[in-house]
Amino acid sequence: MISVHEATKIIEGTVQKWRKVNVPLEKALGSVLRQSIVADTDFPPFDRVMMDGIAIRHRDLDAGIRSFKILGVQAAGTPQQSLECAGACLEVMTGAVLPMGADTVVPYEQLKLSEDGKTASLEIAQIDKGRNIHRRGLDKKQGEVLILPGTVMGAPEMAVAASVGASTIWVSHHPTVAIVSTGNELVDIHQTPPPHQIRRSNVYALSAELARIGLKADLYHFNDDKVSLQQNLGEVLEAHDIAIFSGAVSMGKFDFLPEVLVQLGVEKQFHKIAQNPGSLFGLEQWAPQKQYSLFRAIRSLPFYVFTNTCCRG
Amino acid sequence: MQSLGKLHPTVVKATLAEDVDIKTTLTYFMQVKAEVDESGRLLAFPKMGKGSGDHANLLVSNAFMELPAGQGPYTKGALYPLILFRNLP
Repeated sequence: MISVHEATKIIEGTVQKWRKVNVPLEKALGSVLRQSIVADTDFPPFDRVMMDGIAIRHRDLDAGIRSFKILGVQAAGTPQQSLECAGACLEVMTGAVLPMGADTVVPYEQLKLSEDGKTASLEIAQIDKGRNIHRRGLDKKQGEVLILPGTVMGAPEMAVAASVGASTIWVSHHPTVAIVSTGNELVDIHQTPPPHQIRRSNVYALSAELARIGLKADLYHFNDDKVSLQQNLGEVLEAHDIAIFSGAVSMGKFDFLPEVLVQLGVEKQFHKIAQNPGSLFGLEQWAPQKQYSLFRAIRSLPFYVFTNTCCRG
Repeated sequence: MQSLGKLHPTVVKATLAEDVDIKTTLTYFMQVKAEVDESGRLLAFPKMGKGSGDHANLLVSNAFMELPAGQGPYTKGALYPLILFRNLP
């Protein structure tokens, strides 16, 4: 029996063994990144206007000018314009490039525009130089690593990857999973069990937890029959990257699974964890044809299964 | 699924809201109902089931509290790791 901490370390040690695949970004949500995402340009890539208003030269304020002639509009997504004249301004929109020569943005909320729309006058006494400008490279510099390998791709990561033009990315392959229940006491959920049997429920809990992280599982059931397990289990193992077993791993007379797995060439990593509930939790690896396969065996009692699914992963 | 690097369980620390008089040499994953009180504290109320075959009791809980081995009884007010399997109410 090993501690919870030791078991967790062994489980986490299997992370790097999954092969990587290159997928379009839009298919990567929920996947584990296997490359670095690097800034292809400064973030932001230019001095960016942060408020709708006017862009001015702060030295005009220092010279006592409070009313500015509007020379034009710098909209977001348009090439950079230039502001050279004293006492003049350009209307600027949020997200636009700061006009060349300007160094301060005064928001509309602090301005009064003339009726003909040709002049903007400050309604505040002063404004600091550089206000309302998001300076180029302030967030990240070109070449900086923005997302590290091993990160699960969520909405923010998708946005950042898109912003650096990562149209395809390397992620861990989504493994194929088999969930195998065992036991003569189990009947299908469509059946009404006699008094000595119950319906299969663990596989549905396991399957639901896997679905939450985007993994689909194939469900199997075997009765407590060693010969049947010996004949059929190998095929299930070969067809999947991961197999999760619910049942037949304890000391009972019909708990054939550990013996059959050994016969199939599965190597035990651990079998018991010093925890309650769910101490009978095993991790096995199998590598006859694939690089690595991973198997977990969990005692079949429903609460044990759920505890191990949530707490041990 | 930690081994896939897919999902680490959401683990935070919460305050045990009631005394738990158990002594065990094993790490004990106790079913709890976790909720945030008016002052913003995350509290965990034990929801002891009726044993290993009890699925139904999961419906009234939303997390497991990880009580360290060999340290019981566990006192109200102490902080322990909490593993949420459902959103907080």
